[in-house]
Amino acid sequence: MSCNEALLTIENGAVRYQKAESYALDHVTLTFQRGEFVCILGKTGAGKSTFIRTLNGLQALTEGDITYNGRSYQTLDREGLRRQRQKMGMIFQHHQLIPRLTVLQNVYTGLFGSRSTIRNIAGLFNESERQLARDVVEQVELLPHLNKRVDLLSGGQRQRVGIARALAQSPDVFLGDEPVASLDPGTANRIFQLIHRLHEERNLLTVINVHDVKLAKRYASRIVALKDGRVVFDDQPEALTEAIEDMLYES
Amino acid sequence: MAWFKWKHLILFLLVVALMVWSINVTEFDIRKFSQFNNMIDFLSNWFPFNTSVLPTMLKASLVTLGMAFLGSFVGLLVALPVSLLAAKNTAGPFYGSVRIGLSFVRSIPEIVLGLMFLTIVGPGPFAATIAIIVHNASVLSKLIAELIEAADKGPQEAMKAVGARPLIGALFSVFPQIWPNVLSHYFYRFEVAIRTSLMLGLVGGGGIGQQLFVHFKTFQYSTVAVDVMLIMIIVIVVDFLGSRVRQYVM
Ligand SMILES: Nc1ncnc2c1ncn2[C@@H]1O[C@H](COP(=O)(O)OP(=O)(O)OP(=O)(O)O)[C@@H](O)[C@H]1O
Ligand SMILES: [Mg+2]
Repeated sequence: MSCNEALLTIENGAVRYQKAESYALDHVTLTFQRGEFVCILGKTGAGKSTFIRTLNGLQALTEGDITYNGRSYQTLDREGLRRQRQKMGMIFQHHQLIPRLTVLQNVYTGLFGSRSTIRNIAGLFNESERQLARDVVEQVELLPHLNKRVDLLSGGQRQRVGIARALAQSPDVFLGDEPVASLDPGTANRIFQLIHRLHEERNLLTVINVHDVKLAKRYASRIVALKDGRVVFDDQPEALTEAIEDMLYES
Repeated sequence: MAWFKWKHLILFLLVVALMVWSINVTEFDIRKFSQFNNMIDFLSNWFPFNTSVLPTMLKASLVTLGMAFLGSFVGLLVALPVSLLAAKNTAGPFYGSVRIGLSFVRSIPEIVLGLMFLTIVGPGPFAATIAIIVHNASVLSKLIAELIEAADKGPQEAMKAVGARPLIGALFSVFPQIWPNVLSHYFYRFEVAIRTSLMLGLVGGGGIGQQLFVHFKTFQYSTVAVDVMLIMIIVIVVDFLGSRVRQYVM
């Protein structure tokens, strides 16, 4: 494994939505390193999505700061933030692919952040970009469906396209907002396995929200649990006792 | 009175009053049809069709078709970028002013636009086409802006997440989704533009509409019959094509 330097830190990060009485994310301080596979647990409304979305700047912090690759988000303008985000692949619960486009076309959109507007609109991709797109489609085992419209794929296949799109960004970080929550247990496990394998091959930092504690325990190298926007657990999976689980999910 | 309230009775009386008033102002009177023979007389003048004008009138019909197509299509081309500036989620700081501008243009009836451009550039299909472009650009901008606002937010967020620039993100996350509906709106506007170009013909905008007007005013009813027939054919054909295309893209 590579250096133990922090890749991504959130310091005293807080989010308070407009008109909300309390913090959705309540002054969280965490440090993440390359190679960590972090699962975020917490019951509904705990602030998991809010937290993940702050990490790539989709959601701005109300207080505190995030540092990625040594750059503080506070010092970045919109364009700077966009460039940081380009290096973080995100996978969503509802995959959020572009309907009516094919698998390959959707994967190409993963390259948008690193290319000029003209070339994006014209759909001009050079040899290495085309090869990259094919490679990532192959890695998620969708080559047979390369030119199929994504609305014609199954839920598990769509999520693979979502992963391929994130891979096309050549990311250093994988972020996931409950990427397997709408899949059956078998498919969910296979998708998690895939994410984990890619994570290892590329030595990424992976931070993923999960509902399923078993999945988290099986794959995570570190588990962070949120409750009411606060970090209430941050340790190796083995340290997550049943008592803590009960505390997390009690109403 | 299980189903109705007093409120409803008052509402009903109001509607009746409105009808009475409208009948009054429109001089609505079925009895005016009593001289039914006049009507038969009039219609009998339409036959036999004056087929000798068919080639010229066919050409005039194609002019009408051209006006409607060019007018609505250029309108669409203008509307596509403008709609991005008129939708809340993509507009940025321009939203308010673009919306106000659009509703101002939309509030000008096409016939007024037509009369305006006829005075500026002189009579003929060009003026009518410009009027149709302006009107359709404003109408389609609003319709497409509404589609953009209602589009699924998921892909838009995904495009932000890959680090796409805002313009690219908006283009790719929104247009593939709304494209079928845009086409559907477009074809409807094309149909409407045919009717509009007929109306504009009456005021000097050229095409079959103008021919119809001239023939009518000069009592050439057997030629009027040909005009009317051609107009009906155009409308039916475009209507049919429009519904086929809409079915296909849905
Ligand atoms: N856009 C928003 N505007 C206002 N409040 C919001 C918004 N998004 C989330 N919230 C609130 O912030 C809190 C945290 O929400 P968040 O979506 O982060 O939770 P979560 O842990 O992801 O829940 P779930 O497991 O249901 O996805 C909740 O109380 C929620 O109601
Ligand atoms: Mg959530």
